[in-house]
Amino acid sequence: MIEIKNISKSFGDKKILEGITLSFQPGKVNMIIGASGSGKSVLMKLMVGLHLPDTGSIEYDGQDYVSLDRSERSEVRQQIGMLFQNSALFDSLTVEQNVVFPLSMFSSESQAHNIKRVNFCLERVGLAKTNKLYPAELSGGMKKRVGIARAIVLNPKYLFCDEPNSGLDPLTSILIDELIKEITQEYDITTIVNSHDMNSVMEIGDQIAYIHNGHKEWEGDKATILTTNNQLLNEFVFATNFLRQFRDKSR
Amino acid sequence: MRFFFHFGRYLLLVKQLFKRPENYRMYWDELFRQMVAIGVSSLGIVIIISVFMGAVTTVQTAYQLISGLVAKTVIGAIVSDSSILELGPTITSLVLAGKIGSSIASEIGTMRVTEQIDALEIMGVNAPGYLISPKILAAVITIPMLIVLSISLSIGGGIFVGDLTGILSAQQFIEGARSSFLPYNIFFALTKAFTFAFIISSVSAYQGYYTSGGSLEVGQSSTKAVVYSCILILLSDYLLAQLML
Repeated sequence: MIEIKNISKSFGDKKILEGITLSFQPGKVNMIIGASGSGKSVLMKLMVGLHLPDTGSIEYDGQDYVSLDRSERSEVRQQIGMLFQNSALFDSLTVEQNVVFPLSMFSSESQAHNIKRVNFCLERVGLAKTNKLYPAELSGGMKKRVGIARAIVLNPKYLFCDEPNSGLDPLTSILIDELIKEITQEYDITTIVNSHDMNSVMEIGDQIAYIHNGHKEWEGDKATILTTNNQLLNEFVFATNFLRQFRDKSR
Repeated sequence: MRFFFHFGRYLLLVKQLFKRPENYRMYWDELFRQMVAIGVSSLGIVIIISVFMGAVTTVQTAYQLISGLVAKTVIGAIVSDSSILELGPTITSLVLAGKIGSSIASEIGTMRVTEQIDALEIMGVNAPGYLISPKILAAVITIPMLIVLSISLSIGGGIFVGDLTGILSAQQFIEGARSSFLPYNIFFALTKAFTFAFIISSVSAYQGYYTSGGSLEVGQSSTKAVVYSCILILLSDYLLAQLML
């Protein structure tokens, strides 16, 4: 379980996040939604330790990440898998080398054992027999799936996904969403997804937090997101005419 | 003030390179990859510039020393000493700053803007250690080797062109070179080689590591890496000459 308490962050004079408190449950897909520039990516970077908050705490199973030393942070990080918006695969390495990288770095098992695990993960994301391809030879959806395989290869307890659907067609988006949901339930992972794709939110979101201008504006589940009276959230969720008409008809 | 900001940040980055590797075998493999990328792939350009450097120096020295009062062996002495003291270490390093420096800065800069460095950090890998240490170590191992090769080829180029054009015979060239040879000059050349290798690799890695933005900024970092490396090479060249000669 991850709990963030009273998190604030500024860059120079610009306040990005202020007083955010949230908790994320294991075995569930926890969505953080918000418009571009609302601060959700910064929040995710704080949670994975790429930045440190100005105030507040980030607790992984009760352990405050902010107050840990470098080696303790490294141990927590090995329990984190992350899928980046642009996949962030290492260009100079093949698919197999990308996925085996965390294992080779941190596992004392033999290379043959590691490759077996890589093949399992690649098969799990539907990319068996792509081991020798380079990232430049993959489509956007395939890169995301390799990113997921690399994120889960060390059996993480926490999975972070930053805009997993960006740049993907609707069908591939659904595949990626389903994969994230299945993996979360299968391995009882605490999954946190940053998104502004409402299809994704409604498909896989168990818990949803809405961030607006650096503040937590709303928190709930997908059943209540459609019926809430929060005006800012309504403007975000029903941003298109199509959705507004759909809502009005269903009332 | 900006100078002190960058200098402080550079020192902090260098400090991170000395942390214990997470897995020695991975760092070892990366070191060999970098030795090929930095050393072996620079062989061609080093061979070409070194031979021509020696050849041109021989022709120009002969042009300035045409006099019955100066022995032809002096040309050999001047060309070989120039190759050992300055041309081999400094000119080769300036060329390598262009080739290797831009390559290191753009590789690390691209990894930064495409979040590959973030991915390493989230895995718990010491990103500066894994990305930069093998590059610096590979440069410090291979660049002095390239410079020794460059000195040899520069002298070889001088001998070949001197003999070919009838300026002086190979025997006269070698006689002159041997008469002025001091083993300390080799020590001085190697000191410069190690210093320049560290400057090229670490300054370029620094520029790449702190790139922010997109492809435009990667290009700018690459240019800065070459410019700053060249300036620092020339500055340290002067300081070492002043201190050691």
